[in-house]
Amino acid sequence: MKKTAITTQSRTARRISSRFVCGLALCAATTCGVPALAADAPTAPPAVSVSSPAEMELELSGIASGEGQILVSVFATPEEWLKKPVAVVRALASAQKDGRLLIKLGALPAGRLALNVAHDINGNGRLDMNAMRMPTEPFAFSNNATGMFGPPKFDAALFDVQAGARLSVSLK
Amino acid sequence: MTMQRRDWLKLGAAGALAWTGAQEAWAQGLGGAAFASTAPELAPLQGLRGEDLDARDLVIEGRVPDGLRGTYYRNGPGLMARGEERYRHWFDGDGLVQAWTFGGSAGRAQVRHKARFVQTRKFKAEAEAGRFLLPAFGTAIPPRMAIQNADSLNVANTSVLMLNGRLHALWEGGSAYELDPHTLATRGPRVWSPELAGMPFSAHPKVEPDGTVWNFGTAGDRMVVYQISARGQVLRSEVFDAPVPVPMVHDFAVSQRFLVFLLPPVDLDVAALRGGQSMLDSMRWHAQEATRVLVIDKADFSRRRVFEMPASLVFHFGNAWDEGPAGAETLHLDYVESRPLPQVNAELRQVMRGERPAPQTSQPRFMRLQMGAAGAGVAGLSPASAGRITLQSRSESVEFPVVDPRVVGQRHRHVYYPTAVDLGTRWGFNGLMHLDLDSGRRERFAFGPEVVLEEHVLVPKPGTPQGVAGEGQAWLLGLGYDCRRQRSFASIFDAQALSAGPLARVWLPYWVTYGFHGKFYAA
Repeated sequence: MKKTAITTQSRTARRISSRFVCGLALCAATTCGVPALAADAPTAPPAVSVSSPAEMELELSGIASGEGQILVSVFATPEEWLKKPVAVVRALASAQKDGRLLIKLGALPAGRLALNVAHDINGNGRLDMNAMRMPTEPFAFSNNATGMFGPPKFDAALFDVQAGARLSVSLK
Repeated sequence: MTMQRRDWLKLGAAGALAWTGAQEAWAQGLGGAAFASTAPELAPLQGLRGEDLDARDLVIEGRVPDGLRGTYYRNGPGLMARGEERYRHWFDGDGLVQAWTFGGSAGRAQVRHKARFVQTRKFKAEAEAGRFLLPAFGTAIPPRMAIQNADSLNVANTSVLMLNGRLHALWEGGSAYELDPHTLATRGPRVWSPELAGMPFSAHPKVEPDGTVWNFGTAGDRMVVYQISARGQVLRSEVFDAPVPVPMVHDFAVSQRFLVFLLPPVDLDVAALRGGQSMLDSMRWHAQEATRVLVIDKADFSRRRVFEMPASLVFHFGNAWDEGPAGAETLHLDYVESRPLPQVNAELRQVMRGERPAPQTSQPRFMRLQMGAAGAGVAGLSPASAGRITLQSRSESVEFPVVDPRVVGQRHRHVYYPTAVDLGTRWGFNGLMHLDLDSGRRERFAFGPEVVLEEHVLVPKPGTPQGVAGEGQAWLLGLGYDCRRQRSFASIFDAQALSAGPLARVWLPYWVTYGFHGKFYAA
């Protein structure tokens, strides 16, 4: 069976997740918005299946530049939200046109999922943060969910997996 | 000095009247009647609509000194409402940067005014949407667009800094926004280095006479300090855990050897914040706890000492200087003590509704901290580091202290403040005060109750000594608002003869919102 972009948590993802915990405390106490996210490059490049019945499209807008890559991380449970993705998809930002880009999300597990998108502008495989662990690269969530001094809750970003359907997310 | 009738007539030029009429019409739409009838001095807090302002050949009353040539930049909250929504706190307003350019020839000064809103990410998105989209510091607007980091909420509304020819509009929770110094067009957030992108950068950098810039930022429980060269290169920066939570630290002071902070006993109720309260409404003031005096060695940011004093809230410092051998230094600090946070916030919300707060005062304080000395701090609080704190107080109502730029981080003798003289219940200041710390002499000048006077900065007179010896040989330059004429003005005083009144006032044909802080840069 061909696995599609289903990855275990990479080393960098674990690092980001641990930062997420401290980042949460920090950001909760500041005007800073959402802390570090789990959108991170898998160690192995994802193979995108075209035949999966649960393939969806992600229509991204508001991409600020054609540099680097777009990282999409998909999560299946509140417990794993922003910690342990069930799928990670990458796309080159250079494919964007007028800030828009269509990304295929292949072989999604059935049910309800939530995702986050990060624009890894410098292509280093992670969402960069400044010396105070505030993110410095753009990111967003499904439903364009926003958090109040922290990331949105899993529920706020939930979408139904529906073959052929299109999700819209703005990075602006 | 009195206003000449012919000057008053000049102000009544048709164009100016038309413009003021438009401003009044706008004010009406915001419940301006309340502002006008109960507290006319609060009218400018109604805010502007986000438009640029520009006026040339301003009416000059009196005489602008021939040597005063350059640009006075000033920043403050300028936009207070969009659609039906209005900010509830003065600190929320989106930044409006003004440039007052003093030119012309000897005896024939020409002054031009220009004001533009800083085109932050927030301002641009909200202008396009026609409504607020993001939470403000003191107003719990639900996020209607993505919050990426602190800069998502940056309103760039507090002060300005020119560094190596590059002008910046400063906030404190995020990046400095770079502006074109001539057109005031926004260039974007200043990135000092990749790892410092989007970092908190306070609106009170201290510039030493040699051009070295010191600054800091706070976020949650962490602080950062910066040393920046006169050419704008960050030479050193260090992020560290603050000794106490630091949700609200506005200013600091530098002496020859130290960076000095007063950290008030304020923490953040995270549950309240997540429950939808504003940042400011989620702050908790702990009156029984200490204010921490944090002293950082300029030569080694990791050498930090913490002392304690009774709870007090300070927004602004005049200056600091130190003396004595290493390990037993005495630090001298002058600052203005505000009121406890809940009271300050209640007042700042009242004025945004056009209501006069009960008369209150922020007062001058002078601290002497003997580091290494045995003994408890004031009020018997046991200090975290050995040291003795002695406080002297004065009772005048003041804020926005300034010193001569030639003495920043050096021993100083003179401090200048806006002050309130015989104002009764009226809000704000109507005068200026000069304190000679050596002689204890006080000199003041006050306008009548129709005038609101703002921060005035020291502008060294050309040809006076460049070092500490030149201290006080300067003009005082700042802004004000005349409630009866409904016009804003710039006023210029001789800092060595303050009680003689203004040398000149330069009148705008319109009013502008009150600002927080400004800086003058000689041509």
